[in-house]
Amino acid sequence: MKKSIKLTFLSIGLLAAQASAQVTLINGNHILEISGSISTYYNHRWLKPSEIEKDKNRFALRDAQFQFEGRIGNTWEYEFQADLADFVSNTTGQPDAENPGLMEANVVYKGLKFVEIKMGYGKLPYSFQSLVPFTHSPYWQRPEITRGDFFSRRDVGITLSKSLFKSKLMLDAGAYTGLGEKSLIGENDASGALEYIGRAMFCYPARYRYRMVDINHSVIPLFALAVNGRYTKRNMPIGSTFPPGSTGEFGIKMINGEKYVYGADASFQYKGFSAQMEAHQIKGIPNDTISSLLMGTPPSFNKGYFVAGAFIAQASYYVKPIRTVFSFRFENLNINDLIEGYSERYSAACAYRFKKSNAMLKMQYYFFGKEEVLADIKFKQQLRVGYQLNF
Amino acid sequence: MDLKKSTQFVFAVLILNFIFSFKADKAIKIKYNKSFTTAVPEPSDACLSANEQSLFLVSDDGFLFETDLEGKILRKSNIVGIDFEAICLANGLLYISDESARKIYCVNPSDLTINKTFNLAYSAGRNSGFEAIAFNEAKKLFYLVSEKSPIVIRVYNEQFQQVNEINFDTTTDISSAYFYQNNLWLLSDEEHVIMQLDENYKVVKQYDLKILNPEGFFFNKQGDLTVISDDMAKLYQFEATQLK
Repeated sequence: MKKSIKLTFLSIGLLAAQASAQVTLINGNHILEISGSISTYYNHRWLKPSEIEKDKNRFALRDAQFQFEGRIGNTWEYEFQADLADFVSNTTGQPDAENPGLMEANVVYKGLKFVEIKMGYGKLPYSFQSLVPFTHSPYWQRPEITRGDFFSRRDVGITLSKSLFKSKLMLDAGAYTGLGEKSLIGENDASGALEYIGRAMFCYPARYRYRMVDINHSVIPLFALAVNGRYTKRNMPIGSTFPPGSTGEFGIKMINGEKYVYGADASFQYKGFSAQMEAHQIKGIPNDTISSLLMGTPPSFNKGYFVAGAFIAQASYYVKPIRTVFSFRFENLNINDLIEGYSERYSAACAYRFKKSNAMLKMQYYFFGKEEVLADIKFKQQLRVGYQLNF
Repeated sequence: MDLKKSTQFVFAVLILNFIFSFKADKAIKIKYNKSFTTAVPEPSDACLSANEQSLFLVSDDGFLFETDLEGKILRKSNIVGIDFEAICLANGLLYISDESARKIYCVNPSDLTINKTFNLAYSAGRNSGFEAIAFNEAKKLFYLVSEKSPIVIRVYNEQFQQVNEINFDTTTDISSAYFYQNNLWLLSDEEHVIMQLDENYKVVKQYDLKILNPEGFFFNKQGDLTVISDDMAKLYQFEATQLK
């Protein structure tokens, strides 16, 4: 283990490049920016005594991304972002929700003054933790509930966005296939239903960007408070099934029935200190009263529905003189309230920002305080250390 | 991995930061004495008119406004750019940097129409183009400064032919520039400081501003400083005596 970590740091030292940023091409009123990022890490897990498979102790290439962002005059904007590392690793045809390969492929029409219209595939307007770009996070992994097994992070659809009061109020609403990252297969499930999502974020005293860390050491306290929700109702014809892998690890991501997801998040930053709190509740009402999601409990007990939920609290501090972020995160997760128990996870992250380049050395460690039976966790702790370079 | 040791390490780093913060803090702290809210959306820079009776403000979404000295809109130009980030007055004309489009518009202040357009190639990120523009009246030179990654000061003649280029790595970003009393002055949004440079582009003095997202600044003839905050859509005025 110690040798592996030493080797990782040695590799990082050799890789530390004085990189410049993106490249921009201009042709009349068409402006195209080309950028990308590479991230790689070493991961170590401390297994439980009964476990023997150490396949997660490895070096891994997380990202090999390229991104095209363009605008044509003041009317159109487009974005195309893909990750070659994910395309290679997803050869099974089962895209990982957190690293789906195709990340953004959408067009924004800004010709209507009262609203912006985005169509195509991309991130969904739900959850602060999900909306913060990975490259701006000191962590290697997002909180469990926002990793794509409980609700999708990306989908194909239409989003209407409006910003009011000098961007102090930001509103988003949209309709999507509901298949999430699986929407890329090109067809909806047999129910043909859509998922509807809305988010409203209020910021004070000025707009708040989707950033976890106060790199600029804000001179005044900044706050943001958001509420968001999503709804879908699917009636699958008898005998039909959802596309493989679309229901997520716990079978909750898509259900045959009604699914409500409510969430709220609050963020704060001041003088290098930042904090985020986020809560989610998922209510699923399966069409089938003997659905496995009801955990074999009688109707008198389950009342025809199950609830899942999570709470996340995170605090970070950016130590400017040494260009380093320290961050701590607490997660409480309940996969299904019909089975007693919940899990608690504590994470610590540290990220060093290299000077004169958009690069970070990141380390994340976590352990479980409590475990839920449904989670079936095979390890006690995990350490991930690696390097990310944006160009 | 020991949680207790990790916690001790974090506390040690925070104590070091506390010590470093005294060493690193070379800037002189200054406080504004007046502030005004403007209706100009996302104001990114401003300059005084020739008679110093009004301001010309540019906005992130590519618009040019004339306002009174307190930011109240008097008129709006029909010019539609993409991302106006900097403006200066030179030889009686306004020069505006459209950062994303890499264009400099020369605008007649009387009717706010475009007189001439210059295209300046610069291949860095879309939002890391020329964020700042300043004019040296004595030498008839323009200074265009890129925002970051890297920060480059390019010097141009009046025909926008490049005569010099300087790499400037003293700070993390630059959001505005102004030529005042034979010195180039630069503003950093992320560091919240205004820097006075000597002829070798070395920082000789710097002033710490407690302003959120400062994107533009200028001096009047009395030496009073005005700083424009994009996120707050406000103008902050500092008396000249604070800068002596």
